[in-house]
Amino acid sequence: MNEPLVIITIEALITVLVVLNAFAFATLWERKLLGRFQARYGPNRAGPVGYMQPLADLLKLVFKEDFVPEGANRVLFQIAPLISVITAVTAIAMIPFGDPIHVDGYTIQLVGANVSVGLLVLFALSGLATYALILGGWASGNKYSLLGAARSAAQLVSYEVAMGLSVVGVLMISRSMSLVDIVHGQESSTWYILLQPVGFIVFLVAAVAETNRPPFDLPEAESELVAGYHTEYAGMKFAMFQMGEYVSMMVISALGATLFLGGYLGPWLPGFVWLVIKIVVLLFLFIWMRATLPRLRYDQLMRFGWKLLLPIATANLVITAIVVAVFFQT
Amino acid sequence: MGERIFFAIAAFGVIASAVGVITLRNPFRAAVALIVSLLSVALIFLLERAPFVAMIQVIVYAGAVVVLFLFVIAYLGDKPPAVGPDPLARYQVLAWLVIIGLGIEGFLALGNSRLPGIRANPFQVSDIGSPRAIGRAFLDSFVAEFEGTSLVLLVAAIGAVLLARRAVLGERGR
Repeated sequence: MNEPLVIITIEALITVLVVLNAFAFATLWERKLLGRFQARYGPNRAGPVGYMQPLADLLKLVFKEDFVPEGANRVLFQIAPLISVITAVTAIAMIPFGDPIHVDGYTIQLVGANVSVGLLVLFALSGLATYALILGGWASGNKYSLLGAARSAAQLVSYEVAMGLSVVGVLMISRSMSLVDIVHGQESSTWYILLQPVGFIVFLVAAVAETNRPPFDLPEAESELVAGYHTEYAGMKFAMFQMGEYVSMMVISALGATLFLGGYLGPWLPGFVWLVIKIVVLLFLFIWMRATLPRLRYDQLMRFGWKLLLPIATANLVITAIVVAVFFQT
Repeated sequence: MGERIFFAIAAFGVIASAVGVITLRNPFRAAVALIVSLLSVALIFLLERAPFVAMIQVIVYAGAVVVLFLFVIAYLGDKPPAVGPDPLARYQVLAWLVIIGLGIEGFLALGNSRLPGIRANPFQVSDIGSPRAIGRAFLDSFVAEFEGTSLVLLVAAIGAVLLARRAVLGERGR
């Protein structure tokens, strides 16, 4: 377990670089896929088949004016986008990418930090990520931003409970909160999606709501709130909010893959390839939902969360607990 | 040594932000200070080798309770209450006396304490912070207390729903 600091640093650098590049191309793929869903091409002008589009976007955002509105709280206005990126990128450290590999006498763990409460760390970080939206929306000194902030607060509290309950079933079966142990548990039995199908569906719905993706993107609902919490943000600060959103989308896909789809397990190909395949499938689902489903109204969102999702998650939890206690007691 | 520096940072964070919570006039800023305070407490839990409690602290308190505070503040507006003459101003002397008295009492208590770990170096106790140990404590040793607490919380939740229901009915369901 004791790795030299140099190796950990290199590992972290590679992971962050890969993820930030993946973010850039995820925006491109999302726009291309949305184009296809809407029977058009999507961006295809910049570079070969449009693959230079993220670079063009970056250049545009870098050269925009770094603007702070007059009524804003300067300090919190600058910190909010940072919170968004930092919480999302830190969360990657908990995801296991594969079994340990041996290079030149060193054992390299393909997970940033194998902590015993890894799952809780992810939940804690996703809870803190909401502060980016709340503080950013409040600090902007704009009523649309403030409404977006208030909505994101209500939405987080409503859906985090359902999400937490949806994964407890997995914890009961795997008897561990370490994501590495959860993957190993699926190696010896089977993918937990087969044992916890209801849990997976609840998790998926709550994940979309947690990451504020359509049809649950009420904090930025552009048809009512201009752009919600990031109305006043432009240039690189806006880009950082986007980065936070996409990276946390990838993290939550990786978490779903790890908890329910066997993580990095799979035949023939190396572990991280399998994990990437599963993440891409879940990301595609995210984009598909955005293209297909209309946004919920605010009261529908609350009713759906509290009156449908939460009871289903609770019932699933109770049944799982009884089954595990009666048939699998050790 | 590293642990001491870490503890100093966390302890300073707790106290400084706690002072901020009660002195900042703007409720939104006070709530932000409260977040910093709760996160610093989580750091101290980590230092105590209790990662589970630390994470629950972040998820429940920093991640949900303060989010609700901010939600309410955002909806009601964050203008500080009208500043008039403080009706309690003449009792301020008493407050300071109590603060100084409590401070002296704390020093005396710590100075004369025979509790282990205060003067000697801290040492590792058996596993009390892991999820497994906490689960055992809740469902084996302290099951009556645990269930009693959850019953009280349930009653409080039902009471809140009933009060809200009356308010909603009072507005003819709007």
